[in-house]
Amino acid sequence: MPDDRPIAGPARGVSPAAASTTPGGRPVAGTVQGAPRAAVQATPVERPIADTVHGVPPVAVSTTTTLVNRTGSWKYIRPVYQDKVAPCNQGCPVGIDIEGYMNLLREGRTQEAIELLLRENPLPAVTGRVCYHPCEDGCNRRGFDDAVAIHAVERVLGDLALASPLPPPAPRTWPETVAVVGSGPAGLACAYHLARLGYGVTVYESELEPGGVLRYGIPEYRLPKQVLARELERIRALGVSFRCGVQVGGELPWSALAEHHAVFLATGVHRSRPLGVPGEELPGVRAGLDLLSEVNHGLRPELGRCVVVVGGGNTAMDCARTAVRLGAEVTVLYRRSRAEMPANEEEVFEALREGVHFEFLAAPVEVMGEERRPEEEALEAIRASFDEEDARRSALRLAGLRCTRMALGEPDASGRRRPVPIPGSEFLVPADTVLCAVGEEADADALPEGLPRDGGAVAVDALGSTGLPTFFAGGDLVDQPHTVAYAIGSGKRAALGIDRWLRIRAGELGDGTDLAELRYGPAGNVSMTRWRGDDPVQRVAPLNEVVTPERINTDHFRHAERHADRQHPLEQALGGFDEVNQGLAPEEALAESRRCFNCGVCNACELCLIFCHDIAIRRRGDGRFEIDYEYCKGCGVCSAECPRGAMAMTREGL
Amino acid sequence: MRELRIHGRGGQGAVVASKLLAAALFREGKSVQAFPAFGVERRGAPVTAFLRLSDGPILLRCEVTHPDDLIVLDPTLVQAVDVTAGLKPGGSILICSERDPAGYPELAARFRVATVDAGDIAQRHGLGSRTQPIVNTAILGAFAAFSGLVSLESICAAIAEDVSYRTEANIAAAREAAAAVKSLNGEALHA
Amino acid sequence: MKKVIVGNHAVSWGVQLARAEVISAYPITPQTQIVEELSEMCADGRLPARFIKVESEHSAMAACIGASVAGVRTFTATSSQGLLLMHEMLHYAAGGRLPVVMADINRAVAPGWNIWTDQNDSLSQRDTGWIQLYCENNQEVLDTTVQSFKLAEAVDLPVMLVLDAFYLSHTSEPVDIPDQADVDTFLPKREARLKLDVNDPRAFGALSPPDMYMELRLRQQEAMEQALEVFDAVEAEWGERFGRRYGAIEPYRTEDAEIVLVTSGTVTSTARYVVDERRARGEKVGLVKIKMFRPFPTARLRRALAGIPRVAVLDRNLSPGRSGIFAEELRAALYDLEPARRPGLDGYVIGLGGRDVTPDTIGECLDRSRAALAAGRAPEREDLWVGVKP
Repeated sequence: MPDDRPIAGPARGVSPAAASTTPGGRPVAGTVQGAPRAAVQATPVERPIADTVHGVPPVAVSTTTTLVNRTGSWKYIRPVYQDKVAPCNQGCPVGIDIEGYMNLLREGRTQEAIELLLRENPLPAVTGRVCYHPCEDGCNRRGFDDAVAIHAVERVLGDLALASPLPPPAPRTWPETVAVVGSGPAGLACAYHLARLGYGVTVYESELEPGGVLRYGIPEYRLPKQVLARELERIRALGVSFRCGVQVGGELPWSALAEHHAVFLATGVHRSRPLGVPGEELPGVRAGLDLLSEVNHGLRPELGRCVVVVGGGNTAMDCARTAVRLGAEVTVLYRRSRAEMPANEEEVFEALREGVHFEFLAAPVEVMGEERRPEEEALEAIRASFDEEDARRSALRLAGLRCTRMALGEPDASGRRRPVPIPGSEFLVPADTVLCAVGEEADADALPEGLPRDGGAVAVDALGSTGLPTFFAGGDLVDQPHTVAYAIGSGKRAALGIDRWLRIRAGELGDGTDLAELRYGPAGNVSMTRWRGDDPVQRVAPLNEVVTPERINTDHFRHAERHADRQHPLEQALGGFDEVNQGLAPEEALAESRRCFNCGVCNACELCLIFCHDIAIRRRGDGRFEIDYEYCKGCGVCSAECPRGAMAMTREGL
Repeated sequence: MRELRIHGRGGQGAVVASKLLAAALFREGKSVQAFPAFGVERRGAPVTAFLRLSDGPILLRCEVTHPDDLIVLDPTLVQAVDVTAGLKPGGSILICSERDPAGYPELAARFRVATVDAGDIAQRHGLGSRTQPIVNTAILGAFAAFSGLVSLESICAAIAEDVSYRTEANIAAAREAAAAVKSLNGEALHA
Repeated sequence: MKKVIVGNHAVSWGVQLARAEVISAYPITPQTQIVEELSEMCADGRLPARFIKVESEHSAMAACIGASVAGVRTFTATSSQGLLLMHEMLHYAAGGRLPVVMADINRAVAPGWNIWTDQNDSLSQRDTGWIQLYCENNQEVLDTTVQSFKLAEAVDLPVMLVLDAFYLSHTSEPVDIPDQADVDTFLPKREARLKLDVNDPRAFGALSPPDMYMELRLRQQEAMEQALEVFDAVEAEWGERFGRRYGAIEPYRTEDAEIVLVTSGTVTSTARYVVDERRARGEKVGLVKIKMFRPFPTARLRRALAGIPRVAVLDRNLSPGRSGIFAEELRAALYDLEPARRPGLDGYVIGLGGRDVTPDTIGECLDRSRAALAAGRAPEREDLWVGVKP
């Protein structure tokens, strides 16, 4: 312990001369990246203690400045500022810098927050409404009180973006043009990013209006058409052109796209999987997707009084809640239990709230037409209770759905327990309409020939390339969860892949892209900002590592209730197709942003500075911090107290 | 020097009454000293507070054992504790009670007794709850009228300065109680 | 402005007038009203001070010490067990020569559990290096509170102002509250001679080896000695501005007295009453009030008591195994008087744990001393207990 010497009083004499033994100049290391390294501190001014009597000062105070005691020589480990990745960022299928926009919003830099969001997500007002927010699943706040309501904040920012002036056309940097086939979320995302990267983009759409599943699949009570329309305006404003009402591979042959330098396929899946039971061809049995499309086209089909939806996914929930709004009494039939339902928990909750009845562990055996009524007497009893609508109702052609109870057996390939019928447990569910929502698949005939396939899906690499020259694919066509967020993410990856491929082909880029560096964390989606290399958010020695809950120092946070979305009152919700979820007010979103831990990213909270007992940490002019390693003795308190895991201790001299 | 003792139950405001009375007397140029019985107070338990007043300085700093006057905020205390302990012969007692002074013949034989239904008055002015009216301000009005030691106006002024909650109602209650106090055999009142 | 207020609030008003900048305290009966009022003053802006909530009295004093080293005016208040918990930090404040001001409400020490007054809590802190000032009434409490800051900052020593539990803390009486502007002239903002300075960082409380520790203590002792004269000057200035002086000690009707009571705290008031009564009956009695216990005004007490035939010291405290503490200090102080002028000294132990000290209690002390004097007897014991059950 070379510096363990008394420093009180001249009698033992740590004379000021001792300081001169240290080389002049104060090396200041550990600065955060960015701003120039300013001189931390002027040479200390040593003032003699005037009041010396009996050879001592009035109190036990060192007679020389403590700066002579260069405690930095004690350390064998040193703290460094080191930004990491927040779990929300990794969990987002779109690849949004969620932590980044939360921080900007918290600081009152709302416009910058919106711009950061729009760098990665072309449709924030859409995803803020319909995304099932896997980002919130990994939120480190979950173990403290409740996850940050990220989706609600995104929705507020998305709506603010829609209220902003449209962007100018994106500058055309490259000569190449790209065809995007399909204008669902994947196609829109790919077109948006390619336009912003400087390409000419044409979107082909077989329907008369763009939007795909956003327009014709998702019911209006979850996503108002107005919101979609304004999101599309922004994409058009960038210079993306749309050709609607054109079926590529139909009236327009694939060869017609040869004028483009690359093609992105995002035509989605439209073919409903069959129930595979007798009677399925009867007129009252319908594909759920068809119903959703019809209603989204403005039609209000007659479903009768009793509707049975078969399936447990999100399409099933959409069908059920749509049927409720068309006046039906709805039963959802699902062959496993509620715990195994693939549908989003919030959707199930809403369906229950709206009065949908669930039959779990039940599967259809046969659709019963009216002319085949084994339970004649039972039906007569039901019929007896019918009112004057009875006559109209009898025109319908279904009697009901014969079902069987199921039990869960051994786990199947998906890891879920396989349902097996219980013999002799059959029962009849009255039904005027049966809606099938047991899955969809791509229409293989509509795709170009020679596309490599992986089961039912189109096979692609990490950046959407099919291996068939010029063809990239994404969205529900490829093997990934069929959600809007995954579709947007695949569109973005393909845009990046197309850019990279075209630039390599033009000889302007080597083949050495390290995809891992583009991801948020080891498993996250890619960051367009990182690809472009123009991140507006300063990162300090960033490490592509996700912050675990153990890295959060919750001592520095207060419990704060999550702001729940406001829901329309039930009677109002059921009265039509008005949006049910009313979201949050902007000031509530701001409050949510203050709940964000800002995992892994320094937000200048100053706790490191406050806790450093050597006063070896200072705030620089640019608001960031630097560590004076001449005095930091490597105790590690700053790193331990950092509430968000944005510091680390490293071996000295390494 | 004159010494006073106030009996009440925890929560009725006996200590505040002693402070208000001290403030009112101080307005009239008296030396005053007010203090609670030193100890721990509990809601509902019998409590006492004391007051000394004098034209000259007050030097005594010990407890009051032989008061000249008593104020009793709760009629049930007359049975529950020995309220007249140490009271000087001929001393006065003002009791918050529905009864007339004649309803306390044993006390009336030895002391000057007056009563006022301050509970009813306080309740009508919305002070405290029905089961536990806060009678301290009302009874001070009655004390002014009965004792003549202090004017009703000084009592009201002290309330106005030091009672921030429902000030007007407290003053109104004091005024009403001053008019409602009943002494034995129509003994002259000062209101 | 005159107001009828309790002694605790007289402290709070004094602290507000002194414009304390950092207040840190932990509540304890019977001190709580002081900090309750101060926290309200801080909350509603009457007192623009930082109120630091802490988890113990030890921390309260530690916070005051930190703030005081940084150069600001600091205050805390406590009582009894709380003061005892602070003990280590009391040494730190004094040794660090920090002008922290503290109000201590004299409350007996447990067990047996007791919230009533006696002086053992403050007197057991005798050797921590704090100036101690004992008050007699609420006016003196307010005046002494403000003066304490001036005194403390003049000599760089902490001041403990002491008042009796309940007899002052909870007793309402009229107090003249001076105007803020006048107090501001009397007590400007603190100018620390030596404080934390980021531009000239130094170690405070640094290691002080044998070759310097003693000198540091010598300087502390010299500052303590100075404190008496400085206190006089502070009181003189206060007296000029506000017309009230108390004195480090106050002789009362001691001229030609044969017996003189020595008192502190509120017992003084009641003793004045007894002295007046006895004088009216022709008895030659008087009293000396001790306000300043540390530094102990030894020379003044010698002068005040030299040649008095008998001194009766009223101690509301006890050093077990010895006697009342004021009596003990006086015996030592008077020892150097020539034997002919050295009074006989009776040390009475009275009023422990809040037992009432009435005129009768004090009268009994006087009567016993008179009898001993008449008989030419030395005291039977050094601790004479009055007002105890047989």
